[in-house]
Amino acid sequence: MNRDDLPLVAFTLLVQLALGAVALAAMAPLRVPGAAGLVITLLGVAAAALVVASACSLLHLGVKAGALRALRNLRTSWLSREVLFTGLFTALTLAAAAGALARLPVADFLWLVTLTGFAAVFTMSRLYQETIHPAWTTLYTPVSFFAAALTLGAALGAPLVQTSGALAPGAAALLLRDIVLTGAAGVTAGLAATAVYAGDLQEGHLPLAARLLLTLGGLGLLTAGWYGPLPWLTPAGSFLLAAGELFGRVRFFAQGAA
Amino acid sequence: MATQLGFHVDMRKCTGCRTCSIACKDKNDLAPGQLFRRVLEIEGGSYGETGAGAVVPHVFAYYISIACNHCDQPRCVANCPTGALAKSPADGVVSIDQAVCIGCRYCTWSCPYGAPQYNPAAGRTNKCDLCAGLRAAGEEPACVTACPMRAIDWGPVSELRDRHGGTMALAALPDPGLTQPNGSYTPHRDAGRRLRP
Repeated sequence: MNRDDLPLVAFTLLVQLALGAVALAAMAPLRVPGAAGLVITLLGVAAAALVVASACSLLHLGVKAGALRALRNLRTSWLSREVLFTGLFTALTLAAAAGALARLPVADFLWLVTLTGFAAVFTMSRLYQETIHPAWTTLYTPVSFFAAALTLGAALGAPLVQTSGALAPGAAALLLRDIVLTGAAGVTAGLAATAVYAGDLQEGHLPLAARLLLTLGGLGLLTAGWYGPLPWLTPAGSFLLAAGELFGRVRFFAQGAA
Repeated sequence: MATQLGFHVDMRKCTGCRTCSIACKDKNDLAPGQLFRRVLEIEGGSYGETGAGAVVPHVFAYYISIACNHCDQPRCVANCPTGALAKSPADGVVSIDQAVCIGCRYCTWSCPYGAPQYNPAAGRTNKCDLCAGLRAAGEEPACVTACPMRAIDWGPVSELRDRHGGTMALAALPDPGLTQPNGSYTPHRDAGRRLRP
């Protein structure tokens, strides 16, 4: 992989993590009572991830001072649209985090933030689909990007729920089950797309096996953490899931190299 | 558009000497690794058995001198987020405004011919503008002047087609339907052959 693309690996993953976190923050209070603390933590992590993501996207530019000029061609450029929606998503997430911290009612507002995050990830995937790199122009790109949002959201949410003292044990177990199921949906969609994608590229079995090992291992540990009494299973599962997404994204950029 | 300008290359004459690349690099003062005009060496073919224990090669090689094709549907222009890339309504030449480019490199991901080239030192991308400065002074593009085989021609595309015919549908180049390029080639005799059997 071209070293210049490393900021984009971080940028894409962090925006997708933020979408997963914000969506979880929007849904958690509907499922269980007493989730206000969890919502603040999720929004705080999402806001921090988006601030770091914005810095990463700047690092990729040759002329950082001209970054705002990237908004000039909204009519035809998916990159301009991605900059617009990611900027909106970042601003709204920061506002939601500040509002939640101030104990303001942000529940309805979070759905607008989630929608903006969805638009940010959609425009991001269209951007890569509109290139001339065969590895990026297929449906794999949007499927894997949204699957990463689900997977990373679950990887973040599970240990936070497990360690949240404010949730009643029954509520925490219910929320953890929802998160594990969401993660399983993300993993299934992501791996299904990866298998098709890897088959099209006729690449070797080793990278696919490594991705499967990390992601399925992570999901297994996360599921075991939901059932089992060992507290380290959930964070270990989250770590493996995140490592699987990172591995997959590095391969994505390596295969798109000119 | 008044007149669409473009290049024509006679592949039958090209010897792959790369004088065109060097003349372009010199004229545009390009950084190491940057080439607005490149010469691709295309090799292909297979081996066959005679039936008497001998192996006979059926191989071929030829050169493609390629620069920006100033396409009718330039993806680089559509994808550029700043509007730095534009297609001139006067002569159809696609060029980059260096004062507006922010070096995002999206154009380098968008062009099927590899025309836009990123310069890490400048932090910007640049490309062939058909030697706008030389043309304004009444001269020919540097690659055209430098070619020792007179394989490269330039001018209004309609005139080039009348003069040379030519095609962009070569086995080693992308489908011209992608961007409707305005370059053309008089093909080498093997340019239609598949690179692998």
